[in-house]
Parts: sequence; C-alpha cells; structure tokens
Amino acid sequence: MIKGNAGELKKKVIPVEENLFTMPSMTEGETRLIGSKCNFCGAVFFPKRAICGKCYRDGMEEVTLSRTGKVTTWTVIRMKSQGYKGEMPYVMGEVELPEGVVVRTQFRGIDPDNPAIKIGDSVEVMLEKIYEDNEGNDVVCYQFKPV
Amino acid sequence: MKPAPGGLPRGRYRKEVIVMREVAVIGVGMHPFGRFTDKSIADMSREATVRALEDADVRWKDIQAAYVGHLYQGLVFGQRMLSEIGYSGIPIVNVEGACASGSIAFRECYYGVALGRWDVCLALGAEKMAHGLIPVTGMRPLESAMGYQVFPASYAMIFRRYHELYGLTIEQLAKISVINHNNGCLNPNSKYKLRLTIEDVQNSRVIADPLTMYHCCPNTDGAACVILCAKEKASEYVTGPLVTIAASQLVSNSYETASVLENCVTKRACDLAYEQSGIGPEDLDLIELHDCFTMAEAWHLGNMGVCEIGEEGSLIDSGNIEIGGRIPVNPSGGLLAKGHPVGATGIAQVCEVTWQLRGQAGERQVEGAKTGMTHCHGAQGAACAVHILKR
Repeated sequence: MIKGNAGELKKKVIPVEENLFTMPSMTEGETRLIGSKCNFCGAVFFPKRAICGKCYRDGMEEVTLSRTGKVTTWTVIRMKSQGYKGEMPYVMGEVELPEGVVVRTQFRGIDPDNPAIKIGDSVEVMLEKIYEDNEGNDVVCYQFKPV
Repeated sequence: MKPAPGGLPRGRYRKEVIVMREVAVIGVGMHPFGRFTDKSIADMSREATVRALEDADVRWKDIQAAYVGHLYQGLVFGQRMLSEIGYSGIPIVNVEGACASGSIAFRECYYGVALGRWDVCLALGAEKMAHGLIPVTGMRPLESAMGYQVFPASYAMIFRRYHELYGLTIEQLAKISVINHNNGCLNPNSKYKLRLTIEDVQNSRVIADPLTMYHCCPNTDGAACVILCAKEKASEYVTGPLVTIAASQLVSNSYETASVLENCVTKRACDLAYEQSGIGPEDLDLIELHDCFTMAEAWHLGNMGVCEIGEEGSLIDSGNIEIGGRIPVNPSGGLLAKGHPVGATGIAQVCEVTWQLRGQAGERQVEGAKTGMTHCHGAQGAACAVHILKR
C-alpha cells in the first residue's frame, strides 16, 4: 500500500486520503488516480469501491485511470468552506476521463482572477501539496493542470 | 450480491400498489423565517406547532404521532421540541435527509395516516442555522480538505454547463432572484422583503463565479408544522374544502461520487408523482420548489417537465413563472427570499401550498389555485421528495 515515502525530502509527503492515487515514488514521477472496474458489467468508478454501483455485484478490480481528460465544467470559489485547508480563492471543476468517469478536482496553473479555462480543455492529473499538517508533513492531493 | 431474479427493474424503485386512505392537511402553522437571536429553537418550534394545532382546531392530546425533520439540532430533537407542548408519550420519529429533512418527515407522517396507522398526526420541521456556507458534516477527508463540497460551486458549475449547452444566461438566472424576492415582499413569513433589479443581483459579491450572493439563498432560523388527518375523519375537526395529498414520492441517488450535472432524482420523483396523482405539469397551478440557488430553480423546472430541458431561459423570460403567469413558481418567495432553515423548508412549502389552495395567501394568492406541487432536493440530489396537493 501507499507509504508516502518522499525519498530525499526531509519531511514526509502523505496523501490526503489513502487509495485515491498512486504516489510518484511508486510510478517514477507520474501519479495516476486509482479506480475500480467491475468484472461483470465493466463499469468504472472513482474513487474505488467494493461493490459495483451499477450492477450491484461483488467483483471489483482495482485499476489505474488515464492521466488526461476533458474539462466538463468549472468555477472559482471565493467563500471558504468548513474544513478546507488550501488556498483561497481556488478553481474547481469536473474532468471526464476516457473511461467515462467524472472526477471532481481543483485546477492548478490557472489564475483564479483571470481564469483561462473552458469546457472541453484537455487537462492532466498531477500531485500538489495542499497544506502542511501538524507534524510538518506535506499533505498532497491529485489535481489537474492544462496540458 | 447476486443479481435480482428476472422481471423486476432491479432496485431502481418499486411502485407502491397498496390501496391507501386519502389524507387531508387540516392544519398549518409557521414561525416566520429570518434571524431571531432572542428566540430559542424551542420557542420557534412551539409557536409553529401551536399555530398548526389552532388552525386545525385539534387539541394536542388528539395527536397520535409526530415526525420531526432537522439537520443540525442534536439528539432527540423532536422529543425535546414537542415536550414544550406537553408530555403525551406519543411516538416521535426524528428524520434527517439534509435539505429534504422536512419533506421526508412530512412524507412519513402522510404514510402513517394513509396506511391506517394513525388518524391524526403531525409533521414539524425546525432549524437554527449558522452563518456562512451550509456546513457539510461527515465528509471523507478528500472532500473537506479540498473544499469540494461547496453547494454554490456545484450550481455555478451546472450553470456553466447550461450556458455552454443551451445558451442560458446569467441575467436570466438573476431574473429568478428578482421574481422570488418580489414574491417574498408579499409574504409576512419571508426573511427578505427586497425589491431587486438584475443589476443588484449581479453586483452583489461573488460566492462561486459567476453566482453572486443574491443567486444564493440565505441561511435562516425558522419552524413550520402541519397536521394531517384521515380524510374520512377530517370533518371532526374542520369544515369547508379540504386540501388533500394526491402524490408523495421520495427517491435517492449517490452523493459523494455523483457528477453535479446529473439531476435524475427530480425527474424520477416528479414523473412518479405525476403518474401517482394523474396530475401532470400542465395541470399544476403553482410549484414550491427547492431554489437554494437560482440555477437550482432553472435546473429543476426543466427536469420537472414545466418546460423542455434547454428551454429554461425562455420560460424565465416569458413571465409564466411569476404570480399571474401560467404556473407561478415559489410564490412564497422560495428559499431565495424566504430563507432556508434546512429542516423547516419542506414543511413550509406544504404550508404555502395549503394556504394557496385554500385561497388564504393574501397578496401573493395565485387566483383559483386547485393543485400545487412541493419539491425538496437534499444534498444535491442524494434525496429528493415531491408532493402534489389538491383541493
């Protein structure tokens, strides 16, 4: 499983939640989202799940998902929600991957005050630090950036 | 899990085939929506309940059961609120379904009477709300830490999609806010009594681009209560034309992983309600729907079949959803003007439709209204409850 070992970095890099994405140290610098594919009906889900939400059968296989997808919608959030630990304001939206999975995400590399983003843009998954936890570790999460 | 045996539409929904008693709404009461720092939630719940009991001319000792909707008010909420009226020892069921909590409590109350379990029972909804974005509790770490569960953001994203696909404009959405605030000016129970222009709406501060503050409903305090009675017994309490429940539907969807663009629940719940009642969208005289955001109202109108999906902009421009139009929507002011005390909202919708069908809605009366629909959408469609009332 993911150990969050950041190699030469002094402090640890840990995922915001286990089993959502592969850590770069495991895949030589490329992160991928971890989903589930149903062995019976072929439906693909993200995040991963134990039972198929479409045919309700118990036969899910863990799969990694495509790294690029298309923006289906987006917004810039200017009001902070409870428990949010990242920067304000932020650009958020949804990305559809070739597997047919729609993923909610933040976008990097887009200026919230002058957002150069539109529906249909190609974006690529990446890892980015969200915040530093109480022990000084960098907590990272998947995000998408323009290709 | 094995697949269900052939023939059944596996688990999607099962039609209700039991013959049920007709159920009448014999009493409604509200505590106004707004900010009431000098009042406790118990004060507001008591006032709404007493008003409903007085309206129905029912004594507390006649109430056989209570169903109470809330989201944030803590343990045994219904028991605590109703002990303010008296310790009668009746069964009290607390109901949570996010923004649809009150509607679901109402539905359970309805079924309690329709299935013959009770003759007279009560549904109460009440809430005192914090300021700011509606807090979403119990989320997975991903969603809280990344700021994913921001309701105005979801509707901003739906707007951007509708703009791209159907050409819906932000000014058309702003007009929904103007209309609902105009209606709120006519409702003594409404938090806001504001005459806004499209410019006022657009010039308020941005919450989630492009939705500004007046595209979003305000969190408020409030309480609402209804008394339901088997129609065959209603004459023991009230005289005159009765408001009865013609359809009650509740459907669900996944929450965490669903795309914001799916609104299958409103369509499914409404289609089932139209089928159950034999009353279609073209027959409805008014709708109280879940306008937590202007985009929510537009989104639901298409999925309800009031217009074709994609035609929401022209429907808004037509004036047909205003009081005096073909099908007034949210004559009470809706969540946008009246406010949104989460647990009370669905019950307050029933109060409004009841007043409208009785011809007691004062300046905001929809002339000759005989049928009305209520619609609540909890947690972006995890729960959706729809009721059709008629007289």
